[in-house]
Amino acid sequence: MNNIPTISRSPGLYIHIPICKTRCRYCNFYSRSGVTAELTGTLIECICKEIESARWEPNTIDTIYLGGGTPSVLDPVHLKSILDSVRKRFIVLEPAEITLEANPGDLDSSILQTWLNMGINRVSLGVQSLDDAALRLLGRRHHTEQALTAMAHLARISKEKSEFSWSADVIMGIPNQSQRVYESSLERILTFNPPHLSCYQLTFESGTPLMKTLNRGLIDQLDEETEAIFFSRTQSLLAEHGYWQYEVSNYCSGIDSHSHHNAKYWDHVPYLGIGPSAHSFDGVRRWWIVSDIREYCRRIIEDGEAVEEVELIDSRTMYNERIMLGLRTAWGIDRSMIDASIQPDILNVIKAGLIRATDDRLIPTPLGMAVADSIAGLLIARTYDQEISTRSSC
Amino acid sequence: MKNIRNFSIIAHIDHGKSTLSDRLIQATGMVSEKEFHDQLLDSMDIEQERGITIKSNTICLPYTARDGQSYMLNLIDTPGHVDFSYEVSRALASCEGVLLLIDASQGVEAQTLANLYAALEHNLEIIPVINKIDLPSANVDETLVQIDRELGLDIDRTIMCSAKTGQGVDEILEAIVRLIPPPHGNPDGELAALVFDANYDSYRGAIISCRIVDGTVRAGDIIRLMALDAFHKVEEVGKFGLTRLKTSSLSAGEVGYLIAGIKTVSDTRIGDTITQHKKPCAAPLPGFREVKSVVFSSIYPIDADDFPSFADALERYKLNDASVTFQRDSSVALGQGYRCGFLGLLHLEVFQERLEREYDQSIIMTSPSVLYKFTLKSGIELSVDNPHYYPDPSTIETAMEPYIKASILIPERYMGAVMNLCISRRGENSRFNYPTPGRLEVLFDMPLGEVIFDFYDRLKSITQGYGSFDYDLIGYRVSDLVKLDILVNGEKVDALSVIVHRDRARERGVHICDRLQEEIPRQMFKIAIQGAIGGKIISRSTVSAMRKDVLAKCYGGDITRKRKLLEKQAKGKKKMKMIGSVMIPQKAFVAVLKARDE
Repeated sequence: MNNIPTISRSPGLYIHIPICKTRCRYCNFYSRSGVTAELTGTLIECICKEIESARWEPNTIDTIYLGGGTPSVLDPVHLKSILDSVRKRFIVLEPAEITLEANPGDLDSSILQTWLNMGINRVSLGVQSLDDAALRLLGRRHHTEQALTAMAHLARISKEKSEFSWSADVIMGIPNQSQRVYESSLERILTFNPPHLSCYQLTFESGTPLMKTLNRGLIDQLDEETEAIFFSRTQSLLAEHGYWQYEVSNYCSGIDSHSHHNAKYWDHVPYLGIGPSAHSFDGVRRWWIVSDIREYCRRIIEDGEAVEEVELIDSRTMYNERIMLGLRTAWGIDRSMIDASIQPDILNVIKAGLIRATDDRLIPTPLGMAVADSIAGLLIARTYDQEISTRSSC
Repeated sequence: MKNIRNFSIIAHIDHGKSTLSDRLIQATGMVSEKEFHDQLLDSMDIEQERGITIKSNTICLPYTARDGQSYMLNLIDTPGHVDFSYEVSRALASCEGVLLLIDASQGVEAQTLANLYAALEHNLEIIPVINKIDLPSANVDETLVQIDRELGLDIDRTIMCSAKTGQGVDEILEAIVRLIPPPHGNPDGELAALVFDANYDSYRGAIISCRIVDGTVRAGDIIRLMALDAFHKVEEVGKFGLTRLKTSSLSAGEVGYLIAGIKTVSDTRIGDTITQHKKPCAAPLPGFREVKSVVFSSIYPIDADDFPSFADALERYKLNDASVTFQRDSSVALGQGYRCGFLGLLHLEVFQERLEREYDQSIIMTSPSVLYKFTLKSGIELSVDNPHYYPDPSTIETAMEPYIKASILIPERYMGAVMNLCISRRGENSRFNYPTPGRLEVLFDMPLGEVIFDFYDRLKSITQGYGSFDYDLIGYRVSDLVKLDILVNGEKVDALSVIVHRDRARERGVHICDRLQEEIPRQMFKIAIQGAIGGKIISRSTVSAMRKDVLAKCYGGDITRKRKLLEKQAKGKKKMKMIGSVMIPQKAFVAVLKARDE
């Protein structure tokens, strides 16, 4: 499949729920555990207030993504009040994609039904692995059995309701985990026929407990060669099962079962981010909210907003981002935006079998996706070089 | 004139010349203990770090001897390295005697011998001084035996000293007065003054250091620099104290400075003779020669955008050091630069360090080369110091390269290792001297081109620091030379080409390919690195392709962070050089110059 999926130009809405029951050892997203019921209440009120008072044009949105953190730990009442606020402030175009990120430990058939009833039509399930040793090392609070049960529920609903979709998150390259154990986890997940899969290479982020374990020499990081094998095995295994790799870490079973919300990030479609640490982009600027629940609440209550920083996305920045993001996706980059001066570099990359050219686009090959950052780095650097030499020869 | 003494201190590197100079300055009361800074004369950072003197400084020490008379002791400092042997010879020509300084723990070394021969050539009075006698490792008896047998000097005149503690310094001052003869010359004769150094003052131009052999010079005189045939009006003359001390005149036998509106030191020549325009001396003083560069290298700014500031720094550098030659050069890989000529490898290193530290330049230098001579079948003769100009091999009748006589002084136990090293560097015609039991002087005829590539470091390493080395150029010999090119993915990297002997080409090729393999980061495609002579590949290495380089997650919150990282890396890549489709970091060009760590 080489078609470009339909990426709507309507904005998306992201809501960050920075609350977890326990923190996973590899995670560096902003989230807190042990948040009191009182603070949670205030936070939800503030999120609702931020949504309702958001200065944002236009009023129409067609995706809502509740991420975190762990939004599945929220009391359904809280979830409902958030979605009510959204509908109060925005016109939610149908069919909208409304995703909730969920921990397998939080999902049972009754709560799933509650979520469906409030309009949630997509669940992104943090399976990560079906190997309890690996789950412990990652500091996940759920067990394999819980993940299997949760997937069974999701698969059932998926069968019953065609408008419902779900995704499983999988982590590859977990220390001490063999290629074989990883692949059998993946194959077992595939027996539930998830319409969508996100397969992430485990990364060691600074400041995380996992990084400390690494630094103490208790675990090893995969070498590049092994990482490459994990990556390419995932590519071929999922291809065999009919999945389409439409982004470096994302696979879908049909042309329309991709994450409509996430695709907006990679195609510079505007998105509004609500909640602590959330990022927004309106086509010209990108800004983000403070990464601190209390500070966030204080500012929302006092000022009605809690922006930490704004950056202007000028044409050069936009160019760099288009290259960086486009090379991560199956639809690649628009040929017409590429500076003619770097054509020889592009030809070299094509010759190396890392990208291929169609009449109007440059598209990464499966091998190219594995080194997308290197390709982007080269093209960005070469554009700078060419500009400098043009400048100095003038 | 009978109360003037002109002398130098000559020593092997690190035998304590600068410390002794400072002690003499202190002992004659020119500076108080409080003002006394260690190593007053070696003011440049690099000199202090390496313990060598690059630019010499001269000072006049007023001294009241035990005989009750006042003397002017002119200490003429000399550069302490073999590369500067011509400068040393001109400084010695300005003296009547020398202190030959020997480290009591190191004994006589190769340069001690070379210095001694230079002093004997000028018929100088030689006072042996054994330094560092306070060290636990000092072996005074052995050193005395060496002075007697190896140097053939009178051990009864030898003075024991510790420049560090000051012990023996008074005896040295007395010996200078007693043993070194006063200068002679006719103050009323025609002016003949020997230029032995020149320094640059940003307000006053070149400050010439000279020894007046005959005659007298005063401010207002019109002088002629004989070798350059240039005329100048003298603005000021004087003597060297801790600062310049203006005097009304300089006369025969005296050492001092002369300022004559000469813009830069490049407008002077070491060894030149100064005379009066109106009443010139009959002939210039003997011994002058034009200094010739023996080692060449191209230098480029790391960032091609910095060329203007780089060129400006070189202009300023030239004001101070006339012995480096410059010619515009350019490379496909490295852009605009200069081809520079140096007196030797140390001179090159000092140049590089000074440019980086004092002139704040980041530079790349190419592999040093010597000056090769080619006779073509057409009869044309070519001198080539840059591999870029290596002639078409099919047109070459004969090729020649410069040879040196290498003198290496070692404890006997290192003989095997040193022989192997010299032979591996195409040394031939070996001879041996046994100056004293257990010690060996190894003499080899060697190509200079083999010595400029890491020879000295290797020698130091295989002799655990005990080996010392000195050389003289002995002329050109016919040689089987080839040009070794380096190709990266089939593209020739001009800045990495070298001219080498055919027998050594493979080894050099392997070395360069291995070094580049270590330094070139993996890229998106496989990189083939090859060493080639003409069309024939003689060495190769491969940098395998990058297999995995992509961030796993890139959502709303990751985009800015990731883009900034890529932009930062892209700016870093700007410092890399593109050869075809391959990015080569600057440090790869530096790494090929370094020897393997063995």
